[in-house]
Amino acid sequence: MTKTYPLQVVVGIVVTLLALAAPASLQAQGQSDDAALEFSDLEAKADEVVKVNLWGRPLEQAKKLLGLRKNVTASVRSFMSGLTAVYRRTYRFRKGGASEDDVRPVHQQLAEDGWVPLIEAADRDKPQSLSVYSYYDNDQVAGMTVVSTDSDEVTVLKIIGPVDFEALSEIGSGLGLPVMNVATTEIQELSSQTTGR
Amino acid sequence: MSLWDDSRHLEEELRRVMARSQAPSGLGLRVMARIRDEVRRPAADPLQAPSSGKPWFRGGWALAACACVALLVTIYAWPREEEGLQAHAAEMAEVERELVEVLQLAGSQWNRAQELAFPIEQEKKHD
Repeated sequence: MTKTYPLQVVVGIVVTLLALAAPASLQAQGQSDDAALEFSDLEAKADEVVKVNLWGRPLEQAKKLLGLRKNVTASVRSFMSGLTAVYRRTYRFRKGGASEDDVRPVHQQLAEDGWVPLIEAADRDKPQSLSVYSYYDNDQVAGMTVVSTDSDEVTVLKIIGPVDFEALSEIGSGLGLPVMNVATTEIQELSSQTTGR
Repeated sequence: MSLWDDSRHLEEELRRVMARSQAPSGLGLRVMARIRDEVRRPAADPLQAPSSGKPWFRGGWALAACACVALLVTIYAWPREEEGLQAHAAEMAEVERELVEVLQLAGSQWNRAQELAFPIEQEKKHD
């Protein structure tokens, strides 16, 4: 009895630590990515830089606000509720644009951090490329990163949390979220490109 | 000349009158004593309100002063609180807009990536 009792305690502690470690690691990753998403070369070369870091209380409040709005579908609501962090880096160039060498560190850093490439696509006619990375935790998609390179812009989007790709596709098609005053040119350009194909 | 000097003067006059007249001396002494008492008694201040010395009246003034201070504090603090709430609401709206923007951008990129990666399937879908 004296030998089994400590063993039970040890097993209990290990199981508890493992149970706590999974969300904690994701949370930690979400927060540490804030600092990791710094691409100094691109930033130095860019004429305009857009940075969005959403995690913790502001993200929770934004999700709550968005959840209260009409026209938010159940799938999108469910997808949003699982998000723990959202990041965006956009580097705009007035002249020249970014070369492959400039973007390579972004891909290298993602590979080092354990991100797995899901889709890598490039347009032969235009200097455009698009890479989608996913992050797995216990065989489940626990995050997604998109790296898009255009002639005058490089954008890195990172979403931490279980990703519902159908809900994401729904949002990308202009559904599932309320119409807000989001006057970003890239979304308008993308939607025109998508419908034009 | 003060009231006290007046009374002393009056007392001397009265003493002279009493000495010349044949009135009993006891009456003159009583009159003089009465004059002295009247002079020595502190006179009431005509400017002072008769009830101002009562404790409940002083409490009322203190209460009114506190109410004025509270009113001033409220008037001063109200706009600042309003400004703080408005700033917080604007901040939250901005965060919400950023979240929607990133999600829409990610969704658009995801759809575009699918189209680029699987063009034949997409074309079949369109057909």
